[in-house]
Amino acid sequence: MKDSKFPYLLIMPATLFVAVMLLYPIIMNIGYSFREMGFFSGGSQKFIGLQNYIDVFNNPAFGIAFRNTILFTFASIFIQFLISLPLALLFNQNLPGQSIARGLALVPWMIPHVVAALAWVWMMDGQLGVLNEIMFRLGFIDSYHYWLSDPKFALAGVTLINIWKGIPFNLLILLAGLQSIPEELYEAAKVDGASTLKRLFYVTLPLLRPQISVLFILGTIYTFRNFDLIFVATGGGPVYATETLSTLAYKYSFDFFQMGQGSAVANIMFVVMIFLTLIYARLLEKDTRYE
Amino acid sequence: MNNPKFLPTRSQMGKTVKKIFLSALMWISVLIILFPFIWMLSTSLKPVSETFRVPPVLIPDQPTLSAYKDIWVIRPFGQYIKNSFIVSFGATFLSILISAPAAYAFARFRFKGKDAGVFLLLATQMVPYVMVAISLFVLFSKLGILNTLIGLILADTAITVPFSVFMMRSYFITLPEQIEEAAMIDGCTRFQAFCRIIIPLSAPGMFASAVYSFLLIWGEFLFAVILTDSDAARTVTVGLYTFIGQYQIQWNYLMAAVTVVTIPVVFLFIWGQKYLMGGLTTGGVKE
Repeated sequence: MKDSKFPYLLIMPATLFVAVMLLYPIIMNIGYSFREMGFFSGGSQKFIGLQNYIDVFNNPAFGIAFRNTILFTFASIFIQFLISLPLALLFNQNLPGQSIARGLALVPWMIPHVVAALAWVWMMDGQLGVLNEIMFRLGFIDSYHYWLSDPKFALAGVTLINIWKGIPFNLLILLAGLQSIPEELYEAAKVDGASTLKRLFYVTLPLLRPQISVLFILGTIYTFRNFDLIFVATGGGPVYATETLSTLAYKYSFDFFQMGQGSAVANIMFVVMIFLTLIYARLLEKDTRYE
Repeated sequence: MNNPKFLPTRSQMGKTVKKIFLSALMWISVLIILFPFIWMLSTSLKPVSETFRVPPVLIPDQPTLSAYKDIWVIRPFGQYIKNSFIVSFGATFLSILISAPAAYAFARFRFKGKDAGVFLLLATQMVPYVMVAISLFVLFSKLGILNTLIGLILADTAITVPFSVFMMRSYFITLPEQIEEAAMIDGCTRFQAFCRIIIPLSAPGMFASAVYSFLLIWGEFLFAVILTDSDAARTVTVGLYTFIGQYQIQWNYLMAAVTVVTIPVVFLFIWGQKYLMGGLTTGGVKE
């Protein structure tokens, strides 16, 4: 269907909107990072080259935030996957009420990050939280801990919340993938004498590769830039224990009114994310070449 | 071995036991996943004194709805909810309005700049929103729409357009091209064919997109916290956050508020579930 002007008309509203509301701000943000942005509307906006970036790198908070973001992101993705895969295999067994169970399991994903954060902050409370009581009764801990206000545990705490929130999506995608694997392949493997474990590794996992790739790429992108959950749960504290690049960018811009530095941090985030995505793309390309 | 037909064989019994065991496992895992919500609800129904009980118990001794009554009084919670509904509906509507034609264009036509357009939409999905928020803050303050619902609607629409376009494009692709051809033979222009025939037919796809957008915007926090400053324009996500900011936290109030915010999500989810599932798997993975 070739029609010279009509498609352009169709895409114009969306393109215009995205250009003004997303593209333009991105470009402006890059510009801000090279300027002195002391006080936004009235300030000097003097061009100062790389000074903001230098200040950001010299501040030890950046290194901590960077490390936290990497740990938070990759721990979340891997553990989410490790928990969701067995769950998906379980849900795939054609058990009665399976679609209701699956629907219910999806709820943590649908709720706002703020809700998840607050529910868990309450459960993880150092003195009154039910998580403490459960872990105590199961013998995992000797006494109540301050999960989110203790610098030793805070990052693990927010990671746990994020894992919980991410399981449903992983479950959904993996389940969809599992259900598209034809039964005959398992039959053939069984005939060849493959055990359940061997069938898992040689039939299931290879065929789930597209889904796993999607989960890892999307997971990295969404988790890396996560703001809501950590900001509401701990605000980046205690003492930078859960500070991530997003919360740092926010702090610099809106708590310290150093928008130039905040923009610099945000730009660095963007570059890192592009870099990670390119690595993934390269890895995927290598895979498909042998298929 | 003799086996009368009305008695189960040994392997059949083994299979049933296995099924029961696996079912139990499945429901237990659902329960574990949903436990935070159960705890949330339980806390919201407790009088404040019981929230201080150590060790905590699941079922309150004196369940009460007082928290649900008080939260509307101690904060302008009703205002927050109203704002959230306005922003969510507004942004969802605007998003579908501009995404549907674009999705149709990507699904049906070949034109110069199409690949660039697709790449653009993909790239904007990757951006850390904090980057956009900083600039929008400066822009909105210059335009005077900081701290307004309309500003928030515009910002939130922007986040939903990229994936809405992709989701609906995948749906449009599943519609056979003969439909428009038949309509045009009957005398419709392409635009009329799009409006009168394709749009009604794509209701499921658009609905899935709309539900997903609504849920995303309902829970949106970053833009809301940066672009609004006062109770007049505040949405429910920021409202919840300010609950813990200022006063000593009263947990039964907080959990009641959190439950109230979750209810529309659950409701929408149950109602839109079948469209949502279809929309996600066609839109995302099976390309």
